[in-house]
Amino acid sequence: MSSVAITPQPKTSEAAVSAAAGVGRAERVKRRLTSPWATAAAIVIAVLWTIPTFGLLLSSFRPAEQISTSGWWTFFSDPQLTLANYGDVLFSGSASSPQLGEYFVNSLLIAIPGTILPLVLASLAAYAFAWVKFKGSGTLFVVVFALQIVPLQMALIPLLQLFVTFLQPFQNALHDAVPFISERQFLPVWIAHTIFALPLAIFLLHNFISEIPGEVIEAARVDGAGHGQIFFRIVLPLAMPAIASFAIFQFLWVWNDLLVALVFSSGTPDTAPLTQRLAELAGSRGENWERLTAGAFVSLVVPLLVFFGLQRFFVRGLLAGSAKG
Amino acid sequence: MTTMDLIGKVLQAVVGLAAFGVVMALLLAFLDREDGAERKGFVASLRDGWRPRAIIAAAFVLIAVLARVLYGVVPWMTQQLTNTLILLGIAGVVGVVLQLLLDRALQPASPAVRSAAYRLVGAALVAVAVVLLPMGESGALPMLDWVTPALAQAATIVGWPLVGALVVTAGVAFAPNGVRRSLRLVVWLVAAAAVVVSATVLEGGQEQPIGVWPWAFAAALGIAGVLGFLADHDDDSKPMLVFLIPAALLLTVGLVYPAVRTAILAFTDKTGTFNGVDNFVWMFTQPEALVTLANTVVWVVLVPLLSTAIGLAYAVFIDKSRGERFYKMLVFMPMAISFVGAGIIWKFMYAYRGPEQDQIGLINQLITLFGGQPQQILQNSPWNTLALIIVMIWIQTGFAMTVLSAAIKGVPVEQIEAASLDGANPWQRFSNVTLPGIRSSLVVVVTTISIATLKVFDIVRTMTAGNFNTSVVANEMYTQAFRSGEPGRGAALALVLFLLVLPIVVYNIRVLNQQKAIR
Repeated sequence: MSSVAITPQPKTSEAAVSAAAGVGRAERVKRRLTSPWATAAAIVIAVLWTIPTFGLLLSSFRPAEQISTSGWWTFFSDPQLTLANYGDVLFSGSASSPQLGEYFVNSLLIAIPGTILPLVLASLAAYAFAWVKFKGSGTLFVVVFALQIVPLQMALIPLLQLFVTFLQPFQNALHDAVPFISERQFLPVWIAHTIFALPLAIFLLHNFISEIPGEVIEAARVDGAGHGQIFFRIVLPLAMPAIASFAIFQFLWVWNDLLVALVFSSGTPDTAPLTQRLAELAGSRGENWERLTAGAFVSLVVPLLVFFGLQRFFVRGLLAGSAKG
Repeated sequence: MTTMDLIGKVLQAVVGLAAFGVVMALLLAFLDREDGAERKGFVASLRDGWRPRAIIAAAFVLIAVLARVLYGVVPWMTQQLTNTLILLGIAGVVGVVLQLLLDRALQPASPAVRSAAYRLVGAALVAVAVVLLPMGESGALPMLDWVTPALAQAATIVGWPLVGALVVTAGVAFAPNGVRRSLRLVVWLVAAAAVVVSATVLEGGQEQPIGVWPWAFAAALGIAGVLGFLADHDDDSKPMLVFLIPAALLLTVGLVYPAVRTAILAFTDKTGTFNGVDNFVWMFTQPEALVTLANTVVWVVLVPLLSTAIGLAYAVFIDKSRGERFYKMLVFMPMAISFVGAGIIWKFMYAYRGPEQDQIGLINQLITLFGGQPQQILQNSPWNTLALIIVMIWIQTGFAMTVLSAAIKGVPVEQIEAASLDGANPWQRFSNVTLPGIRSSLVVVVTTISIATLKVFDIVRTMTAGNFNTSVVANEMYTQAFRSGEPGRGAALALVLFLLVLPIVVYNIRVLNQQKAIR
């Protein structure tokens, strides 16, 4: 087994060496690649892409009555800042409109399992698709891929019926057994997110996992490794960059989802995520600008943290196999 | 939020993830169960030793005893739950003993005999349950008086096909390999069909609807049959197909079943009766439906093209520059904002005030700054569609940029260096070296964005709700199915959406096959 575990090692160290050697050359190549025009274009894109968010950020610190009467750029001629909007959104809890903290916890408890479950199932399935040759494998893969396009709106009602039939009794029993677990639980939301994430996750992870050199897996099998061992000790570590980068996107999608939450969460502070609360705050015509701007930024913090924390996985050879040829 | 609430919530997550882990571990154990000579670990000892069996049997006894003791002491231990648990305990002990006896008896027998014996015993057990449960329901067996009519009916519907399938598959155990595999597959599929047919027939004769669960069970039977068909091989990589089971089950229940239902629905009117292709005729004759289709085409052309192009250009421009991470973060940020948040932000950008007032939307401020009249951007067709498309591009560029940037870094520096030594200018280096190097990433990005664009719903819904000629297929579908009470038309739109994506799917498959051929 030890030999199996080591097998990928030379590859990575080789890559590290060549990368280190490449830095010097990269510097030289870079100087020739960048032109002032390219830099200017990059800055223009960056500014264009940032302005809308920046406007919202600035607005979130402006006094409520100013937000709806003058544009945020008047701040530069008449600077007035306040933290009242954030205080309002975060701490002024009342029975009818609880503070966002609770929804924040819900969002986390929905997004974390909502990321882990589909990733595990999809990487298992992708492994099977990539490394087992069976009749109909191609067809089945096409079917899974094509399932991406089944519009959510069409799947919601049948799924909800299934949940009421099968999950509701189970959830009630759990609530009866452990009274401080509410009868409105996260389970339906998790399952729904898992199902809807699977086609894309299987498709993307399959692309990465099938790039793993077949000799590595063959060698492990010759050494007597079982499927579980091969999966956990070879496939999973080698595919980690891909899995991590997909995890980031899946986390963002679940965190930012509204439709699934609207249908499958109870809509009460028991399970409703931040987005649902934000949509409520927005009201049908978006009148609460001051709460909305601050609330939007509260919900933005976690995705940005996740992006920063896992960014190195993007750099470390996501889709790297595509450059192999 | 009280502390107890918080604990309850966290507990849900912990229990949920733990249960998931156990299921996965069982799956892997099943996978490695045939691993021949050197069996190790718990599952292997289960087949050889008596001690694990004793522990499991004791656990079942404990469950039954605990249930009996707790009955009447704690409020949540209802009579039904107690009975179920006691029954479970008895069944568990019987199962363990039976398995031990069978295993001992069949030790010297060939695999075919073992497989047949296990199937026959399983059939016998199911048959006993199917006979006993309705007896309990009718009161003939006092011990089982808690069986509800629904449960008894379910046992009948599911049980007999299962018994039949087990007996027949046992019977073909000695047939030649090819015949056996095919016959077993057919038997399982027939059993699945039998469940659905009998459920439908029974449902017709009673008032209470049975619901959708026979379909789910039939799907499970079918999948089990197909996987068994695939796994019944000498090749040892085949059992890995077990990895497909959870995903296949979830997808069948959550996507295939709704998709099939939608496809059937597309040919019915609002009362649910068959009306041929009327819905499609409506779609291609009504002006507003045509506008919807045209809008969708515009979306699906512009969004993937522009966001991929801009994302790629940006990724190239900032590649290896100082502060690359920061630049990336700026363009990535819209990805991190929910569609709801994006809707808020851009409503703010497009906000309109009369010419005599101060503008609060940046776009109109710029228009007036250059001497124009403020526009109701979200209401003036066709520019409002473009305004919505800009929002989508704004969001998706971050996705394209991140993935493509990573791919660009995967292109070997040597190749670029070699090209520049050969006298290629930067544009030639880019189009001849970098672009081919990131081709498969480009395909993935364009595909993902195209599909996301075809399904775009939240942006249209929150910003214009599809009014003022901005509707797209996904939104119109929602409106028709849930607002206008025309599920048939909504389903027909969904079907068209599916057809629109088909070329993308086919193209991806071709690219995939090419890659496989190269490997």
